[in-house]
Amino acid sequence: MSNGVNLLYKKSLVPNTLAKSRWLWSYIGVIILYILVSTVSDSPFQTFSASISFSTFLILVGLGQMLVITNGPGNIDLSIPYTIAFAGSFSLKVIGGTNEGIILGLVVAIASGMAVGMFNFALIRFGLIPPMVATLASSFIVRTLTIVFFRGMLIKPPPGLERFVNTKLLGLPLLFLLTVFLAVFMHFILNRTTYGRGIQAIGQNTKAAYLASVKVDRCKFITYTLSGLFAGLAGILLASFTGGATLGMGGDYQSNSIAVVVVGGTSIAGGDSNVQGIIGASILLYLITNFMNIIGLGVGFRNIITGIVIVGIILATGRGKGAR
Amino acid sequence: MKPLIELKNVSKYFGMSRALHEMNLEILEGECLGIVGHNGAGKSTLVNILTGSYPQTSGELYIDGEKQPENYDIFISNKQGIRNVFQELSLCPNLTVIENMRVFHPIISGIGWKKRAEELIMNQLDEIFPGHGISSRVSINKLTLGQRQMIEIAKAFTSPEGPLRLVILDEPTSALGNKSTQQLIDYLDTLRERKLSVIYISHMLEEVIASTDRIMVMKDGLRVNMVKTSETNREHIIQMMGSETVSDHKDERKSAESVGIEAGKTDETRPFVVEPLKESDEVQITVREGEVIGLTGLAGHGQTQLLLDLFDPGRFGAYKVKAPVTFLPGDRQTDGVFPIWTIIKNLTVQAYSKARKRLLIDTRKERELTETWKKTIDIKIASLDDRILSLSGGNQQKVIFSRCLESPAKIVLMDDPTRGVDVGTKLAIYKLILKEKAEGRSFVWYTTEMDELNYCDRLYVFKGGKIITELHVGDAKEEDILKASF
Amino acid sequence: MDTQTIKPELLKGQSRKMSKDILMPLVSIILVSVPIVILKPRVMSYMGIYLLLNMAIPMVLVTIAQMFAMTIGEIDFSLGNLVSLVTCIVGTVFPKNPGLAIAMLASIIAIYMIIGALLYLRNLQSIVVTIGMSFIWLGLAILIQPSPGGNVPQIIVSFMQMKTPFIPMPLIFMIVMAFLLFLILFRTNFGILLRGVGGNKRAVEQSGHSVLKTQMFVFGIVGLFGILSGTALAGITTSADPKIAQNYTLIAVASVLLGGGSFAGGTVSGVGVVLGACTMTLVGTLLTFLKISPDWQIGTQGMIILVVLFINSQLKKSGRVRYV
Repeated sequence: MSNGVNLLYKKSLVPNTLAKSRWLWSYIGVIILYILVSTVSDSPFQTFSASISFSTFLILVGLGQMLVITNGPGNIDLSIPYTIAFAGSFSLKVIGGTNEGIILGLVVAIASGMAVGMFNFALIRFGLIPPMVATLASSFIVRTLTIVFFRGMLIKPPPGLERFVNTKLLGLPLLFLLTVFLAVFMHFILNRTTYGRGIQAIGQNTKAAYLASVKVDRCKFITYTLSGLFAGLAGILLASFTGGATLGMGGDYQSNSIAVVVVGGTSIAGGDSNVQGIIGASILLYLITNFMNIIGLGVGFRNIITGIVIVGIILATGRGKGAR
Repeated sequence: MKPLIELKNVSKYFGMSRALHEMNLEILEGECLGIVGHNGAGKSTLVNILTGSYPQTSGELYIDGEKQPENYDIFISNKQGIRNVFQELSLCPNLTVIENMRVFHPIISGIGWKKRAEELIMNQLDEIFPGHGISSRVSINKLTLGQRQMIEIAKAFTSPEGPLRLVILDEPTSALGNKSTQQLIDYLDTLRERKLSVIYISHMLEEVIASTDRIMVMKDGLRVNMVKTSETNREHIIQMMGSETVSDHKDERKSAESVGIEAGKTDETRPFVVEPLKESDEVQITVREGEVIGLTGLAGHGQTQLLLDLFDPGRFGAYKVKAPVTFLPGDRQTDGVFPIWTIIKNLTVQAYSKARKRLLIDTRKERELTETWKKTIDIKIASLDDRILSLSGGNQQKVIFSRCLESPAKIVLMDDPTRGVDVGTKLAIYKLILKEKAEGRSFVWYTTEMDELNYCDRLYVFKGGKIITELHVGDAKEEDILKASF
Repeated sequence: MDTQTIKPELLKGQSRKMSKDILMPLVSIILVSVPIVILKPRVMSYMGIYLLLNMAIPMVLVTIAQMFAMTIGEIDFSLGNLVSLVTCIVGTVFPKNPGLAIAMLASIIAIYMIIGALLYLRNLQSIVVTIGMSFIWLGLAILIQPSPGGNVPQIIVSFMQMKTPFIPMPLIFMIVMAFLLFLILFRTNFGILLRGVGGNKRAVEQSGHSVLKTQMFVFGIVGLFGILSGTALAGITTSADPKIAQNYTLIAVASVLLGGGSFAGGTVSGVGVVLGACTMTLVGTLLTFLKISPDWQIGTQGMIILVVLFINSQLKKSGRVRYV
């Protein structure tokens, strides 16, 4: 092998500490982007705040996706976009535009999300269908149910919810702060509960976890159900934020949820999850989008830059051969 | 016969762990050399250095009198005509026999390669295992384990690239039947005239005696002895391997008794913790509270399966297991260690019920527990927050052993846990087993090391997937145990 | 434990193996075709088969692309967007500047080969890298053709409408593809190495073959078939549309699984994959013939995938390694 190829083969391309803390990259990216934004905009904080608002929902589903991915290679949840759409539509319909129905709406959103999650688990565990295909196929079914039951209905969110999702606290969206709080909570779950330790063990070595008396099935059940739960919650909140539920409202959250998990430092090989990275990566993603908007680059460039950032970070922090 | 290969003062260290120590060895042209020793004696390490899988830490390797360079690797060793029959399969399961030959020998290419590859492997198969009945066009995953092993062996003897000098056979007959095993031994006999050297590594001592010219005994990374096959026998070899007969360890038992712990006796007043669900013609095990049950016999004859059945009886389990169980794996890399985690997290994974404060895991308690075990079983740790992979193999096993003992389980199932573990660790583990036994824990212990049977109260001997005998260690004659185990 | 009994079925070797592997896709396609024929007997005509199978051509091509990736244990999450991008290159760039279009397509293949190399050298996970690529393809496509339109060259459209004598072109295409795949996978050196890498990468490495070269070549082929799929799709729909094939990625995965492939890599049958892709396409057609509204179609497709895979996994369970 030539020397250049040899180099590529052996070492990590960046100093080891930086490679180990991949989540730092997303925050570095956020800082860089913020600086860039301030060079072209008079109110960078406005842009920042807008990015944060949107990133809230991505963080929420990212947390669920992170739990799934932590379970080890092959585990992934592709049913998030349509769970969002279904839960969003169903819950708003049930609320019927009045504030009295909010509690019921929340219950419906969470319950439908959980139902999808449990269905996914059943397909994977009892149908022995690989998670990628199981969650994809179940999303087809959820999509059909959404179309059949809710198509053509103009479902507006209740004023109370609409106000809530747009409230700001100290200049930052309240919802964002609550989501960060949830993320902190999930961090504790991951590190300080039997469940959290369990999925970390499963992701590192499922056979060893089984032999170490970890309840593998129970942990996976909780995982997929939680992922569905978060998607359902994101559904009702996102619908309230954007003024209504639509069929395609979850479209952004397919590849994005996986991207923010991995760019945020969670290992796609499982067993090594990172909560803070998800927050940074989500903000980064929306900052890129907004920055592109400000300097007049269209959707096309936005997507290209997003893709380059993702590939770039993975390349820079991927461990060289033999490091596993 | 002149030497084909020489090792001079070859040592191999993995971190702090010594796998091979100043090995001096001559392998003569055309000889069949047997290497025996317990698990962890260093046989695999020796083979890996010979084939270039990894380099030695110090010492020199000579082939035909020429010193081998620092970058000696698999490709160089292959070119020099050295082959290894792997224990883990080196075949692609989804390819056919012929296609695997193509992968293995890139030199078979061009028009008509299929015919050449087919002839190559089939002729070799016919030469070693006449009447094998294997079709060359079948994909490997459709063949039985025995057939796969025959192909692995035959494949190693094919060499269109040039002359073969040395073939290393590592447990070559583990999946072969009696007839095929005999065929292999007969074939090895014919290699002397061709000046093809063979290294034969096996736990099946009769095979080693039947096929080799000399036998080297290894123990703890050292060469203990080298004898002419014609001048030794099975008992002699066993002795040299370090299973000084069972009676020699009566001293150890006595010292255990002196601290009030009795081994080798079963207290019939204690209740059963494991019982068969229904009557059967076959011998079934029972385990009482505070008993240490040994599972022995030839390796891979059903012992691990029984342990797994006791761990998770499922719907069709044959036993009633009346107390919580924990499982201590023998292959810590694939079945025990969580590589990303710290030592603390690896140790406490079964102890959350103890290390809990309200609803969350108490990290301080986790640390305390780990610290306690570090002292109790003397685990050599730099910092508790280090990753577990920073520890030597033996210390990793200590951590996993502590993990099992720290669990609420009353029955500890052990799957040959001292494999590849140094003597110091072993003694620490044995002492702890006796202590736990006195406190009412039961152990079901599958072991391939003879001297460990001393710590057991009763033994079950396995053969062919079933239990064939039950022995009481206290009353059994040493010869019975020996004979039964091998 | 004697191994002396000669099992007669083993002597039939390869042909027997093939027939078992394609059993499921064969049964699937028959199960789908029979109701179609019953409902509309006129499909058993030249035009009928032509129309039925024409839409399947791009699906088959993209499935083949995914199959090559999956055979070496990887996955291409960007195929859908790649196919869409190609329709834009073919439909918008080519008419104005054929040289540029060809250059772009060649670059795509080059990029794929580089990705293949990087995945191996840096020990990266293909799912994340290809997610990043999918953003880039989408962005490029939007830049070229922001909304559906374009002017697909007549030559391609005519090719896709070619009326061959006696046997409809799509059917010829399927047969030729299946045969071609069989040749590549089972009769070339490359095919053996490719399947070997999927079965036991280490063994191939240690025998002195360059897994790097094999992987680069495989990914180049993935890109090539993605391009072919996009070209065919452009010819059929006469449309350049950056979002036309978004679903393709995962439907291709399902088709590969339907055709007998697996995520573990290695096992594959060209015939099976072609049948799998055709089945997926025909399911949609069948649902249309059954007058099932488009609203229900995607959900039913999902259910069918699940059922077929479930049956398949039950069957696979009984094919374990024998110990005697």
